[in-house]
Amino acid sequence: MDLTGKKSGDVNILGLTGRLDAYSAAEVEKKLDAVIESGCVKMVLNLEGLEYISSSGLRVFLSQLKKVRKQQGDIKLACMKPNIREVFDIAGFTQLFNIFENEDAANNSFTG
Amino acid sequence: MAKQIMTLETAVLDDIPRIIEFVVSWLERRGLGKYSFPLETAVDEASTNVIKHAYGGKGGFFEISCDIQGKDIVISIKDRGKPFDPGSVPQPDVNADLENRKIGGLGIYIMKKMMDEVKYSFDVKQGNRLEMRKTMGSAGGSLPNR
Repeated sequence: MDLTGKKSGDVNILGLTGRLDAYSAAEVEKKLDAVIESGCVKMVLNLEGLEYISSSGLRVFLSQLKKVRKQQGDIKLACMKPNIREVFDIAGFTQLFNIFENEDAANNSFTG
Repeated sequence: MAKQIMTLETAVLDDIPRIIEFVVSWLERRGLGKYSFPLETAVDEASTNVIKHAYGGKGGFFEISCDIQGKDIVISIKDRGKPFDPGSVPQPDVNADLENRKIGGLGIYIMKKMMDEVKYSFDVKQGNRLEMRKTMGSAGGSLPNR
């Protein structure tokens, strides 16, 4: 699991690559916690490189979404692969998250 | 024979990629790669449950087998941890809004959605046994009942 980041104004754009399962979930949670604690509550997660997600990964997404929404922030998701989308649909996560075709659309939605 | 078994004496979370690789390569060798996604997801959730709940993360005996019975791909998982019946976990409300959304039970819910049948049994000698079936040809190799 790899997590890379860049900033666009007050939005943090993070790219997730690899598998988000029980093994890697704790590490990703820690990294996202660090971003939120640094004061950034607006995030775009680019999931182009995310190959797989289990319920442990969903748990991380959900807990982080709750944290940032409480602080008037959001986590927007972009470039989701069909398999990931299917797991989101089953879990009923599609209606909890704002999901975009690409990173720019997700990023622009913060200002628009 | 189609059946193949992998045994781990002390399975821990780090072993999950290896367990999934065992199942996926078994499928691919039989030209059943199109079932990889639902099966790896179900196996991941089931194995995570065994390692986290039946063994409390401390590690323990784990056996997984892949087989074909008629039109079914059959994955069985055996462990000797605490009895853990996935059927005893309440189904999550996947329509709840963010504020009321609970994460518990989601893994088992996803596992059941990915498979056509999930059966659990326990006996004192054998321990926990979970049998998951995917009927080939159902829903074009993707999810059943959709």
